[in-house]
Amino acid sequence: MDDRADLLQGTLDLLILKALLLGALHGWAISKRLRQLSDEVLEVGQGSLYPALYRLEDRGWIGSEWGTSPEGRRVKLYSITAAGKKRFAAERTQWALFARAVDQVLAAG
Amino acid sequence: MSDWSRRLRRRLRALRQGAALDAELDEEMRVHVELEAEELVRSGLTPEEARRRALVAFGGIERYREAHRDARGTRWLEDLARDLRRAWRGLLHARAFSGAAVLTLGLGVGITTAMFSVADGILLRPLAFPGEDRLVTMCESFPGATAGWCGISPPNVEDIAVRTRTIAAIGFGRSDAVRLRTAASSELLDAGIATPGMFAALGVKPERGRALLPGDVTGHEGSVAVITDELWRGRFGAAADIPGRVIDLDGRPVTIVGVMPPGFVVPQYDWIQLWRPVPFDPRDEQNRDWRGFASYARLRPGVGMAAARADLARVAATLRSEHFATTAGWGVSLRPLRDLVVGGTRPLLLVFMSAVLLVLLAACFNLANLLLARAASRTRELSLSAALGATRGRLVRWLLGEALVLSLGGAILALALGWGGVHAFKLLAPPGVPRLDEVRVDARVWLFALAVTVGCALLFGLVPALRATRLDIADALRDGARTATGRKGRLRPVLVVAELALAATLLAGAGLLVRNFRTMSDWRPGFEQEHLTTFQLFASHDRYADEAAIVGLWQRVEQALATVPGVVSVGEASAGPVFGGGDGASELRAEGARASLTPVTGEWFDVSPTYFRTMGIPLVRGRGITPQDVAGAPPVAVVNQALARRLWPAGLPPVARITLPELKRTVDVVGVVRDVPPLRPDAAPQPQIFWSDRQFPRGARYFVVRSAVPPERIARLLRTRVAAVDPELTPSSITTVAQLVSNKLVRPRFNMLLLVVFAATALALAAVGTYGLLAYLVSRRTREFGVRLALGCLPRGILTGVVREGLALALAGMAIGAAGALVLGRALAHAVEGTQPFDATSFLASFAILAGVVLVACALPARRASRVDPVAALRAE
Repeated sequence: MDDRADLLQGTLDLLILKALLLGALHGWAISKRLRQLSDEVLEVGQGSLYPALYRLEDRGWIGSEWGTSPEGRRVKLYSITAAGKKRFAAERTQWALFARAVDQVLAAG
Repeated sequence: MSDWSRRLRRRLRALRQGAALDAELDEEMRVHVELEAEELVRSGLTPEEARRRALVAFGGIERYREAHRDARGTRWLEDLARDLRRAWRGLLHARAFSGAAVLTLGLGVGITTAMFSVADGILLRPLAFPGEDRLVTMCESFPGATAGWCGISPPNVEDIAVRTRTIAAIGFGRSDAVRLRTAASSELLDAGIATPGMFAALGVKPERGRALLPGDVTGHEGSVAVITDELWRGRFGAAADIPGRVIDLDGRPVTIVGVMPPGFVVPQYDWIQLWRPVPFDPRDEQNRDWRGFASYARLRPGVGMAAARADLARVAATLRSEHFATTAGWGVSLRPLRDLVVGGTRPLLLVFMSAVLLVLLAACFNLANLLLARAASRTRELSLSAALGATRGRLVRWLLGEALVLSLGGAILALALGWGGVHAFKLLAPPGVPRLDEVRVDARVWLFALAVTVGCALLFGLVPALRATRLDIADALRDGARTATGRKGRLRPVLVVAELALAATLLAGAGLLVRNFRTMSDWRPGFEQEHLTTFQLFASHDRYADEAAIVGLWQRVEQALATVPGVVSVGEASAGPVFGGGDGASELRAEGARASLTPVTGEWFDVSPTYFRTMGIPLVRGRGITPQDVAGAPPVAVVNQALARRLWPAGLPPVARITLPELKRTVDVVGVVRDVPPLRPDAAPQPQIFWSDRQFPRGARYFVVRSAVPPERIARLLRTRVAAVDPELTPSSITTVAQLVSNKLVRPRFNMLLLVVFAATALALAAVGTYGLLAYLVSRRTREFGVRLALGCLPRGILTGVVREGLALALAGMAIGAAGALVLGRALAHAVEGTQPFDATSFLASFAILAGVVLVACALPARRASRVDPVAALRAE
């Protein structure tokens, strides 16, 4: 897990930003959304979200606020910022390029 | 909200509220797991199974906690704080060790801080002039010039000013006392004469009025003066009508045109309070050889010393060919003005700074030894930590943390000692130390002390830390295991030997200074020093304008003094051994049969007929100066043995004549007096020539009075008698020759004591280090001693064995220290007048002291070794 940490970290950031594009969510909800969208592939290590969330907030791409969940629990809600949206667009392009390059290599003889 | 300010704020919040953030995260994670569990329950699992699955899906909670903390970016700081707290607690437990370490470090750094503060104030801080780094002075070199003396003649300065391309302003000055007369009083002022260029070069603007201007130099006695702020406040009560007031100086009206700002001092003449323009034309050729002036020049902006020196060399070459073609070795050199003020002390200060660094090194070795000892005794504790998962880096950081806490304690002690040391130095320093009032303890000193303490602690704590963490865990944790001394045990003795070597070096150096001082204080001049009073008198320029008047005045004073009861004899001279004065040396050529053709440089004096008798310097040939040697009679002179030997190696002929080209004087030699050895231990007597002060009179004399009674009893009477001859004649401080000698010893004594203090500190540190090592070695070999004693070995044998080990360390230290001592001796000989670079007796004495101290340090451990109870030792496992 450790040697792939950097790659996964960058990808995780991208996924979190995507998950927050449509609205504010708290930690578990983000995890649930990602699982839904990926058909349960991305599951192990749900807790890895939290350091990532702190880092993203540090960089100013998301913001956080304590609020109450529908059930009445005290939860920390994260939302994407304008800078975060820009970052998402840039990262998404990067990822597309990267994925296509990897595919090309794998497809070659 | 910019990026970095947000991050900074988050970091600060993380620092202050780390625990709160931890709690927030825990809550978030708890909620997450709960929600996940609830969903799993909804999908049909039991609550327990759901919870278990949720936790598995979540992943390693502790790992994410750590990652979260890492992301906060304050991890290292929290770790450091935790390490320091732990170190603090650990050190509180081992008070003896901590105390010794703090004391060692504080002592070493404290002394170093004090010494470097002093050196900084004296050597490094720039003089208080604008653009000080461009201020220079020019020194003529000529046959007979003494090293370290710097002077130049007025026409040379003027020529340099005109011909050079790199100098913006240049001037010269010298001291020239004047008498200030008011209706109520008459006093001698510390005054000087200078050119306007001096003020221009120094670049200090007066606080009131103006400085000297080119128009003030008229070629005759000037009619203006500039005074210092001290004189303005002290003598004139900060009167508002100055500048502009007219005062009476030596009978002439002089207008004070300006007041210089407080603290203004002219280097080389820092006691002068009043400056007048030079009373002659600076370009006058007559003064070409009169080198009694100090020069002050400011380089043009952007000109470096190298360029200025090259330019000066060019000008000097032209001057040499024009005026000094026959003067061997004539030249002019350039020196930074700061050198003029502090240059003399630089070699000595550098030696002391090196010595103090040796003390610091000894302290650091001691500290390393202590840390090694402590680390060695905690092998078990460290191994346990390592077994529980602490990495080596972690352990090293922890041990360094301890070193850091110790260093902070040491820093506090060092600051206190440093502050005290600087103030002690200022209090006890001998007179003549330049710029002493600029020595102070300021922020730079604090930072220096802190940096050195922490730096030393970390540096010298690193090796012990690395050593201690090179662990064989299984071995160390085994019950009853003792790590073999083997390779680990070699570093500590090496450190102790190094400390002993440093102490030996410093002791030897101190021994050299002790010897130098004792030789000086054993000065045997060949005459009786007690009961010899001396003082200076100045005749006013105006009241005694011609030579006959001056001769008459001094004769009257001499007669008046001779009438004081208890006085045996009175004499005068322009200068003499110990009581000072002197016009420097001049070239002397002998004429006549059997004369040596090489000219000799010698000192000249004018003396009264009674001078030699009063001093007690015997005549060895011919006659002395007599009352018949007056103006109009053939000029005669008496020489000392050193001069006679040099000019007439085969012996004095019946007719012997000497010429002094610089003074344009020729005299007949009529007698030879015995040499007076100089106070400096290794200096040979200088060639000296004495002529009658009735034939070549001058307005300033040193009077010597030999009395049959103690000098204090006649001092007041002497003063009264002098005043009776002329009320304006006030003797400068009346003192005895013995007192003057004692004054001259103040500086060598101070230097000696300073080095002795350093050597004693190093010795104490080395002794403590030796004691510590031997105590440790003895404690490790208790069993061995027990076995040996049980097998019949005598306790005394054990004792001598331990002592022998200690002495072996001392011997090794002495061997290395001897090499260092030779280097230090050479440096001392260069820095302190009259010190020998090597003296077998004092070296041996120093080493004997070292051996003695080591012996004492061995005594306790050795006794303990010989007192080991064999039964108890064998039983302990």
